[in-house]
Amino acid sequence: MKTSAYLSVLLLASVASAVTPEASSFGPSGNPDDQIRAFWHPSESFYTNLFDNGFNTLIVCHAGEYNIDLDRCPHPDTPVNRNRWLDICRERGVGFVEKLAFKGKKWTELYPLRTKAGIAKGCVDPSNPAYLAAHRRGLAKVLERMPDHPAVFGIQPSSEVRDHSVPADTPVFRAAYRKASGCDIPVGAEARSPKLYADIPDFPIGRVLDADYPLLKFYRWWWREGDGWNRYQTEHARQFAAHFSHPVASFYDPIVRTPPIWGSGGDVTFGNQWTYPYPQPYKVLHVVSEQQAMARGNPGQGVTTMIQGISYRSAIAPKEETPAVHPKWHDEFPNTKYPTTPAALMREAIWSALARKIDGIMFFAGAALFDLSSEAKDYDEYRKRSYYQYCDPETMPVVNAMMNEVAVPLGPLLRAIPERPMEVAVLESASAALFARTGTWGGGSDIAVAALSAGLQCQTLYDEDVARDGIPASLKVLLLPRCPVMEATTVKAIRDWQVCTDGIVMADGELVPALLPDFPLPELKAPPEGVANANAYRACGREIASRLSPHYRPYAAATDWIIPYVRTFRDADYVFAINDRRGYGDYVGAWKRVLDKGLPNEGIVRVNRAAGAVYDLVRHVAVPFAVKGGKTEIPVEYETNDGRLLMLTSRPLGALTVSVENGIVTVASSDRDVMIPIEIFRAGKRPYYAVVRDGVFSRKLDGTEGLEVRNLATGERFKGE
Amino acid sequence: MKSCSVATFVALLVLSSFAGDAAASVCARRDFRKAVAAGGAVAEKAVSDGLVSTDPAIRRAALWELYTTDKSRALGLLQSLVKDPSLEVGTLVAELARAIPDRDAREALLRDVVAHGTTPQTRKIAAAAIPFPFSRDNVPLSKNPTYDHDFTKAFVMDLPTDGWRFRADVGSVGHLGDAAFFRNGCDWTSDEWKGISIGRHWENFKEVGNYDGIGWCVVEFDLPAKVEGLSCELCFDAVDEEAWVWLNGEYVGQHAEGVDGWNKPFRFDVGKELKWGGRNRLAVRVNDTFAGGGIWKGVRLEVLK
Repeated sequence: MKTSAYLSVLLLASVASAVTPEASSFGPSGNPDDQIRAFWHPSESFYTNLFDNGFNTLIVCHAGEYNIDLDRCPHPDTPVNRNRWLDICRERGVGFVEKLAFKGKKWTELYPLRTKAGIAKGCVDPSNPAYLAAHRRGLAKVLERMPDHPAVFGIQPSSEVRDHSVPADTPVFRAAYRKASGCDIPVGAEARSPKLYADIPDFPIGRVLDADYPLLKFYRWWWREGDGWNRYQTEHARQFAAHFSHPVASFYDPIVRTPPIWGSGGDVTFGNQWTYPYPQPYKVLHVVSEQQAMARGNPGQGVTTMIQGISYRSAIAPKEETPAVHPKWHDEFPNTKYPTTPAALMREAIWSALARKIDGIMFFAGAALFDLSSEAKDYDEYRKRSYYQYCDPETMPVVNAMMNEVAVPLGPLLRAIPERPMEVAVLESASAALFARTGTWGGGSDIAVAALSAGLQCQTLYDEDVARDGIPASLKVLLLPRCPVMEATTVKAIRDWQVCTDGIVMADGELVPALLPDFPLPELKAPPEGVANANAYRACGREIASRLSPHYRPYAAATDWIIPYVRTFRDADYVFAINDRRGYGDYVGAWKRVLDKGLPNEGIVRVNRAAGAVYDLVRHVAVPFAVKGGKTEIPVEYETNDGRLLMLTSRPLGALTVSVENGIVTVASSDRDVMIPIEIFRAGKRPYYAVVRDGVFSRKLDGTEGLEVRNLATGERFKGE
Repeated sequence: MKSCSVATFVALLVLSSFAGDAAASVCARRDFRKAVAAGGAVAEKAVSDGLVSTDPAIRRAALWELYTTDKSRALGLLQSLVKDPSLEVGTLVAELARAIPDRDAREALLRDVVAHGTTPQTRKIAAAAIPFPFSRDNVPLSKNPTYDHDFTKAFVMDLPTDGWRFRADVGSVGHLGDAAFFRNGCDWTSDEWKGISIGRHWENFKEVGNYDGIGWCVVEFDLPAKVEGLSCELCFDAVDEEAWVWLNGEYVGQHAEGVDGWNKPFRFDVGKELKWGGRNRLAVRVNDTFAGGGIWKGVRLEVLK
C-alpha cells in the first residue's frame, strides 16, 4: 500500500486533532516556565510539607465527585475548606488539578458494555453517545459548585479506564466503524487484541500486513477511537476548560498502557505514565521515550511522568519469604502488598526522568511516603492492613532532596533543553503488539533499557511515525526486537533506509523475512536474582554496543555502571551521568530481588566533542576536564547511586548583566547559544528560577528590591543595575 | 541454481559446523540488499548466490526474495532446505510450505519438517501449519441456549488433582497414528511420561520446566455405578491456553480460542464416552504458547437433571 493510502487509513480513525493551547504554554501558576512537580492525592496533613519542598501541583479530588445514583455531587470536601486551600495554593504558586470521580451503580446499569460474549461485568460503554451525554450532565453539576479560582490548574478526567475495555457489539458501534472505515467489523474482532497470528487461518505468509488488512484496520481504529475512551478524555477536558476564565490543562494516564498506536488520551494537554522503578530504575529513561512517541501523534501534547511511591511487595520482598535477617517493617506490616519504593531506586528513577525532556514529574502514594500512623484510629488495625504502608522512611527525604537540589532550581532548564536528534531507536510495531502480543504496555522494551545502560540513547519509534514522517534522517541504528509481524509501509521504509543510508538494523530471529538485519540482537535473559538481573541488562547493553562499535558509537559514553544521557541546545551539551552502581541494602536487600542500596563509584564520562568549559549544574561550579583526541573526558565521583548534570560549552561562560525597568527584570548574556539556568533573588520573596535563552531572560516580576541573580552553572552572582 | 546443488550445500554446512550469524559480514548483507534493490539481473544473481551463502540471514533473505519474485521456483526449493541448520531458514521453509497449493504435497513437506527440522521452533511452526484432524461441536445441555429449564446437580465429582502424567509433544505428533497418546493402548506409565498434578501451572514441576508448546496431560479415574440425569458434563475450570480432550479414546471436543482462552472455563457432554462403574482414561492435549501452561484449575464431572 502506498503511504498516502496508509495515511488515509490512519486519518479515518483520528479523533479531533491538536491540543489547544499547546502543553508548552502551560506552567505552574508561580512560574509558567517551570516544570510541573505534582503529588497525587496527598493528604491535607502533608500539603505544607509538599509546598516547602518545591511541589507546585496537587492532584486532588476536592470537588470533582458526582454520583449518578443521587444525581448530585456529594462533595468530598467542604466548600469553605476547599476555598481556603485554593487561596493558600494561589499564595504559594501551587496549582490544583481536580481529579474527577463519577460514582454510582447506575453507570453500569444504564450504560453497560455489550459485547459479543454478553455484558462485560463492571464495564461501561463510552462508545455509547448516551453515556457521554450523562457524563456531560454530571460534570456540569460538578462545575456548578466549582469556583473559577486562579489556583485551579487542570483536570484529570479519569485513570486506567481502558484496562477492561473490549469491542462493543451494538448497532451504534457497528455503525461507527462502518462510517469510519466503509467496512463491517471483521471476524475475529471480539477481544482486546486479535488472535495470535499463528492462530489466524490464512494469515499472510511472510507476516507483512497491508494497512487495510481487516483486523489491523479495525484494531487501529478501536484503540484510537472506537472504544470511546479517548473521545471521553477530550470531551471532559474541553467541558472543564470552558468553565474557567483562565486556561486550564488536562491530564490522562496511563498514556502508553496501550498498543503503540497514536491517540491515547485524546486531546488532553499532558499524557502521563507511571513507572515502578524496579528492578532497573533507569528504565524510566526509556518509558519517557514511549510517551514521547505517543505525544508525536498529537502535536503540542506534553509529557509528564510519574514515579510510583509504592512497589509490589511480591516483586521486591515477597511476604511469603522471611529471610533470617530481615527488616523490622516485614514484621510490623505483615500484610501490606504495597510497601514504599526503595529510596535508592527512587533517587535514580528521578534522575532518569529529569534527564528526559518532560513537562513535569509526579509522585503517588502518600500513604507509603509519609508516616500517617498517628492519624490511624486503631494502630493495630492500621499496621495489619494490606494497603500501602510507610516502610522506607528514607524515600520521601530522597524525593525532597531531589526536588530542592535539582528539580526546583533547574526546573525551567530541565523543561526547556531539547532532546538530541534520534540516532538509535527501537521500533514498537503496532501489528506485532496486536498479532504477536509483543507490546510493552508502557513498561518499556527490555532491549531498549539494556541499550540505554550502555549509553545508547535509544528512542521509541512507532509505525505511524514512519508512515507520517519517514525514517528520521538522523537515525543511524534501528533495533527490531520481537517483530514477527510488521506493516508493509514500515517494512518498505526500513528497506529503503537501509539501502540509501546504510542504516544499521539489529533484530532477533523473529523478524519478518522481508527484512535482512545487519546484526542479531543479543538475547536478554534476566534472572530474578537482583545482581544477576542487573548484570544481564548491562551485559546485553554492552554486547549491543560492542556489535555496533565498528559502525556506530554513541555521542557520550562512560565507565562502568555510569549511564550517560545527553540533551543538546546549540553549543551546549547537557550530560546527565547517572551512577547505577547498587548492591543489597537493609530495606529489601535480604530478599535479593532488587538492589536497593546505592554504592559509591567514580569514573569518566566521555563526550564526543572538544569542550572549552564544563559546569556542574547542581553544584554550580566549573569542573575539571580534559580534551583528548577531540573528546572531552570528565572525571566524576559519587557517594551513592546519584546523578550529575554537566554542561559542556565551547568556551567559559561570560558575565551576566541584570537590569530592571518598570518592574521587568532582564538578565542578559553574550552566550546566545547556551541555555543558562539562573536563580533570581529578591528581598522578602522566594527565589525565582529561570533560563537565559538566546542571550536573554526578561519578565515582569512581583518585587525587585535587592535584586540579585546567580548563574547556576558558574555559581557567580550578579547584582541588578 | 538447481535445487540439488542447494541440498548438497546444506549438507556440507551441517558437516562443517556452520559458524552462524555472528560471523556474518555486514558488508555482505549490505551488498545483498543493494543488489536486490537494483533489480533485474543484478538482483537475480544476488538471490541465486544468496541461497548458498554461508550467512543464514542472507540465505533466508534470498529465499524470501525468490518467493516474492518467482513463487513456484521458491516453493520447489523448499524440500531441499528442510535440513538447513539455521533457525532463520528453517522457520521460513515451514512458513512458505503453507503456500504449496497441493494439499498432499504441502502436508508431506510439513511432516518432513516436523520430523527432520533442525530446531524445535522450526518443527513447532510446521506442526502448527498441519491442519489438526480432530474437531467436534460439543455443546452440553447446560450451555444450550434453547434449553430454558432449570438444572439441579445430581452428581458432582472432582477429578483427582494428583496422579496425572505429562508428556511434551514438541513436534505435535502425539495425536497421529496407532500410537497416538489418547488411545487406550498407550502406556502412560512409561518413562516418557512424567508425574505431575493439575490445579497449578505445569511450570511448577521440575519434570516439565519452563516448557511452552504442546503437552499432553492424562489421568485415569474410577467412577461409581451410573447416576441418572439429563446431561453428563466434563467441566474444566481453566486450561492455559488451549485444550483438545479425549475420554476413553474418543474425541470429546476442543477449547481452542487461542491465548485468550487461558482462564475461561469450558465443558463438554461426555454421556456417551463415560464408563460408569469402571476405570476411565482422560487425555488432554494442551497448547501453551507463552508464560504459564497446563490444566491450572480443577476438572470435575457433573450430572445434571
